[in-house]
Amino acid sequence: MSAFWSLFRQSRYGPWGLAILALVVGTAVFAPYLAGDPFALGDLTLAPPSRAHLLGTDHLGRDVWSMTVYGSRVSLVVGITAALVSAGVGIALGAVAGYFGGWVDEVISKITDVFLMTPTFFLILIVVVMFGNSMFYVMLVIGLTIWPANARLMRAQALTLRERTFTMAARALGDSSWRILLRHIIPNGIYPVIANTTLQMAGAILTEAGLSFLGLGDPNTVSWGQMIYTGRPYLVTAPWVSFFPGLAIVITVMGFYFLGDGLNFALNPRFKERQG
Amino acid sequence: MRRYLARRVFSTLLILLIVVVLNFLLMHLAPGDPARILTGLEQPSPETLQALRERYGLDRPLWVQLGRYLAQVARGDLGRSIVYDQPVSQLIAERLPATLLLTVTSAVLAFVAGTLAGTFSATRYFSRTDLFLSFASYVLYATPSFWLGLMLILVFASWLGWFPTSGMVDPRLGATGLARLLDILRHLVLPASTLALVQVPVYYRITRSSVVSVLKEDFVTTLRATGMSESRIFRKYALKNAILPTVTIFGLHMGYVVTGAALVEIVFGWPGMGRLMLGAVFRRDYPLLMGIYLIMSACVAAMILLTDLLYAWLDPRIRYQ
Amino acid sequence: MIPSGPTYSPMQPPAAPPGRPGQEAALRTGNVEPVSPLLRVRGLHVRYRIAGGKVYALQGIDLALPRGQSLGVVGESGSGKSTLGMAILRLLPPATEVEGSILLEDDDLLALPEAEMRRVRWRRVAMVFQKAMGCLSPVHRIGEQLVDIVRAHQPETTPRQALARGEELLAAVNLPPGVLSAYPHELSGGMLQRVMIAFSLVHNPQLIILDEATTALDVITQAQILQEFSRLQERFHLTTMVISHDMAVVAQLAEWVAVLYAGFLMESGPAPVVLGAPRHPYTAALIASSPRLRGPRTTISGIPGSLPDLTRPPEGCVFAPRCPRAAPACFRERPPLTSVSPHHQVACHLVATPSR
Repeated sequence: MSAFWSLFRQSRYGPWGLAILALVVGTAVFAPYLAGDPFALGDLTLAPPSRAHLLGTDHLGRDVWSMTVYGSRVSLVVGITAALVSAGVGIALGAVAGYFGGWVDEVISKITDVFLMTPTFFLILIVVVMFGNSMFYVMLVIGLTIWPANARLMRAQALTLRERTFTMAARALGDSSWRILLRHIIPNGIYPVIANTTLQMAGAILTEAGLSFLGLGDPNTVSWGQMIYTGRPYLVTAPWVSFFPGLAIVITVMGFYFLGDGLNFALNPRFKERQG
Repeated sequence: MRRYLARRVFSTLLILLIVVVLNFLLMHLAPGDPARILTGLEQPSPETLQALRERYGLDRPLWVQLGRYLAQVARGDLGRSIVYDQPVSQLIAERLPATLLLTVTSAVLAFVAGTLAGTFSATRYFSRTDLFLSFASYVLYATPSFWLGLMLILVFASWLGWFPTSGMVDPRLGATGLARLLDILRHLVLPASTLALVQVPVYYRITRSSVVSVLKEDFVTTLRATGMSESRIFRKYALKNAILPTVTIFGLHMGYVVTGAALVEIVFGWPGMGRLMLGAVFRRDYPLLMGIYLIMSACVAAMILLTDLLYAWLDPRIRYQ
Repeated sequence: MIPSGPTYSPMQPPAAPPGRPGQEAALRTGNVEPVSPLLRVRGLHVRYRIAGGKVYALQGIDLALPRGQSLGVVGESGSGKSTLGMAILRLLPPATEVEGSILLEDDDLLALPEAEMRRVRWRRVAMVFQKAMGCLSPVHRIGEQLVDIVRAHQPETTPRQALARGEELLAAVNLPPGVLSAYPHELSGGMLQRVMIAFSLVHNPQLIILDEATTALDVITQAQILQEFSRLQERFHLTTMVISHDMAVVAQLAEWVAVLYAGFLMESGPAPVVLGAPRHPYTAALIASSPRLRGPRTTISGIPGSLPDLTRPPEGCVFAPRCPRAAPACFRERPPLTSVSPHHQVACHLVATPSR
């Protein structure tokens, strides 16, 4: 564990990623202490940044700073949950496909290919439009469309681990396949998926922002994508409404990328050369 | 080679088939009565519902419906848009060229810029330029395409006035021929740049790591031992080997490009599929939405097939699998 | 440590190589002055720079290779033998410290500016590498690469001329001309190795270095390649350096042998002497650890212990910790290279015979 930590610290971007994410998570958690009510309408509409309103106000007089702060909650929750759903499904299906092979592998791989090769954003759109756009659905749908990348990674790992001596030994000892999967294949093959999961969190945040921008986000919440959408008609007169939530997205997503890089570096020494 | 081609085509068709079936299943999995969904109305009259059911055969068993749907799609009939009351395929065909123009232009721009930058970075590994470019690639990759588009409009169209803010042509000009072409190009700059900028990081990173790892390969040492000039080794041998992963990515990446293109089109009012899709989303025009998804999938699948073939042409090892 | 890889082969045990006419007898009695050496290595030190220190790959190597003859460089992994080959061609990584001199005829290769060194590579010194499969670009045809190799030093050659020359060379190694239009992955390991040997001859170099050229091959193919190369040696009067961990390979091809261990030269001299009657304990142990196909059954012995840390050069003899005959002096002082007989040198305190 400490070896992992020291490797992580040596990575170029890892610690920065952790710092940025700590900041973002902190903002989300302590939002009530950092900002006012994001839904509060006011008389001062489209006001530029000032001491009263750090980042200005939108066309309904809402405080952009408060909205940005609270927006972090939606992004983080959606991003993290979607990626975790994806990891769960991906690991399970990938391990099964790689370990059992045969027609199971063929079927799962074909399904994986469909998701990997088609523009799944449209699929997400359709599903959200059909089934509803509460945050819950959005998280679930995103998670259920991005699992194939994890499945592919896990499958590749399972294929190699299947041939390793300890697996064969376990089989010879009479362990059932499921047991082998749970105790040997998955715990040993999970590392690339862990690093990929942080990337998927980043991607899910961007996807959610895209959905909100199209008006498909949860209307009861404040979301960065939605803010960019509301700010669009006033782009020239009040650019701050659209600008700051976008900046927040960039910073948060970069945080996940950096973290992912650091994890990659610490978990897979071969990647040492690709730093920078 | 021919067998490889055949296998890839078959695989692509299979995937498209699955997409079509998926479309079909979605329509039937959606909560509520499919007929009611098709009408797009909250309270359709029973006569409308019955007519639709008969028309679409919704009272037949599921697999019969699937067969009919498949046959329909094979004929090129993607249904009828609820909102526009026109065949979906016609609506898409009208908008597709604009989307292709934007998508292809930006993809090519991004590929060229990204691979050049990646190669440049790889040869100056860990220099300050390299680190700066690498950091910049992270920033770009984290940037939402629609937000970047808005910011570019703000700076270049609004503040600087260099480019128009939206649309593909200036309707007031009524230009034709060459003038029209130039007008289109002027309108193309910002949206294509936006879309290209968010793609560049992918090509940059792949190329950079690929070039670095190729330069460490044994054959580079051998060629150096033969006294060949470094520039020949690099330009002819190293690059051709290094470009392979980038080509693979080009195809696979198409799914994201198409998505980004839709969002960028909406931001720039570009008359392509994006706006069509937006309208369909708001009006719950399912036939149109699903038609768009199908066509976009077909485009992406075609792109992937083409890049696979290109890859097989470049890398002789693949052809004999 | 027992040297890895096939250590016996369907060939004779180490003995006099099929030598060049007239030289065999002379070599055995050691009564001949070798013709002026084509290659002379003097005091060669190579140190790789790594994070947190240096790897002392070669420590003060002295070698001489007479024209038209061949020198075998034997040693386990980590002995520095591959470094020696790369040092001669100046293909070491940029951050490497190199001291000493490598004289090819009268030119010190280490002192040449890079542009001139480029003209030396392949034209005067060529190398056949170990993993032939990785030696050429996998996405270009073999003939195409040959054309570029030829034109690297003879730019006015047309592709047709280059390919014609290629066909000549391929014939010399028993390969059909069709090989030129193939891709590297379409050939077997043995065929590729022959191709690399053929390519090494393209500019009629003065010196050819074989760096573990047969290690990646199976035993049968290895034997074939070695036989063919041996014939080539005779036919073209090649001067070669054969680097290998396998004594049998060296025995078949070389008149002279140098034994390296952990960067130091342990023993060097005529092959029948060094391999048949070694004076250095390490050489003796190496030979004892390779099994023989024929002859009486013997007990194979390994060399106890493990390789020393190459980042920390020792005070005394580098082999002392593993040497069965080590004396206290061996740990204190580094043994100098002393002549046991003309052309036979040993670096060992226990070999007290003064030079004649």
